[in-house]
Amino acid sequence: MKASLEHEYDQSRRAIMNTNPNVRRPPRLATWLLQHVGEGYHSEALAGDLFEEFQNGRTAAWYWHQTMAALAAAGLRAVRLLVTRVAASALLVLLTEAAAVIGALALSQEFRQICSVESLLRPSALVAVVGTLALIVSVGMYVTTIIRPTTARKQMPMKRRVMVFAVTALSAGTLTWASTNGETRCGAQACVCRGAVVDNKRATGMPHTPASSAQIAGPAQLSPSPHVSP
Amino acid sequence: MRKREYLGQLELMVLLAVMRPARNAYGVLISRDIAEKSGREVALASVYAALERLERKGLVSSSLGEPTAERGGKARTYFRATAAGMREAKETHATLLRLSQGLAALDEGVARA
Repeated sequence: MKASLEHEYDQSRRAIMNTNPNVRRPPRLATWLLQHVGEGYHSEALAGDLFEEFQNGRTAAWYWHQTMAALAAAGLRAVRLLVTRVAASALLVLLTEAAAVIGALALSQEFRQICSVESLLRPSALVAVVGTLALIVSVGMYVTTIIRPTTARKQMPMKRRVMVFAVTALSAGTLTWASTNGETRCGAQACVCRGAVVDNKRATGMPHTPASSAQIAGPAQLSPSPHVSP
Repeated sequence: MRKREYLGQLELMVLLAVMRPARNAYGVLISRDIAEKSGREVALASVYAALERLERKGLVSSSLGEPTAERGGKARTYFRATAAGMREAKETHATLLRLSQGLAALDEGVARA
């Protein structure tokens, strides 16, 4: 649709050129370069302005000079855009990987805090499961773009990069929140941690963390059969 | 003092040329205006680059005209200063006047010119 409209527009432009015999023709190569290489901000208007000035008596050298300036400006704009895009994507990759590492660390912390099957049914555990799934999906999406062979690899669109980063960061945040809220899961009840029965707070009066409790309770203090006491 | 982006020399010149009333400003006219007033010819591409920056800053707006034969069937793009553009030009002009006030070297230059 757009191509046919452009074609029609080109035809009408040629018709205008052909019907007027007094029209001076500007250097063809310069015009072609302007149309195909110097694409940019209002390039159509710029080409028209150059044509108009050329009809008003400007020389071919002037036309070439203006064309070169336009190409330089277009090149500069393209380079600036490319640098910005490369920098942005590199930053996004870095942030995505950092978020994934934080998420993995939070996940391992979460696993260490699991005390019993019942604890898995608590809301924070369910949130952690959702966070884990989101983390797996986002890391999967990220990894598939990396392990693809170079020939088949396409540049991941910026929108997708941002989405992958957003999902990874959100899931990492969720997991971090869930792992720091481990106390709510094991706090009020006694639980089995690494085979030890630790009735936290009641026994020691100290705040409970499963790993530290297991370390505090030496082998001699452990009960012979691990069980959950109410 | 509020933080704002300062206009470059060419940007200011282009903005002032766009602001001239009773006409539709477009690339050729702006370029001619600058050449006449400053005595230096500016490449049309530079004028458009400055216009692009001004439009991105919201200081000018553009509208497309009709394609004409004298332009090889290409349409003109007309530019006009927005309210923010007018305000920015006024502020920059006032700042330049305040800064240059009482500078003997500048006064001599103006008298000689």
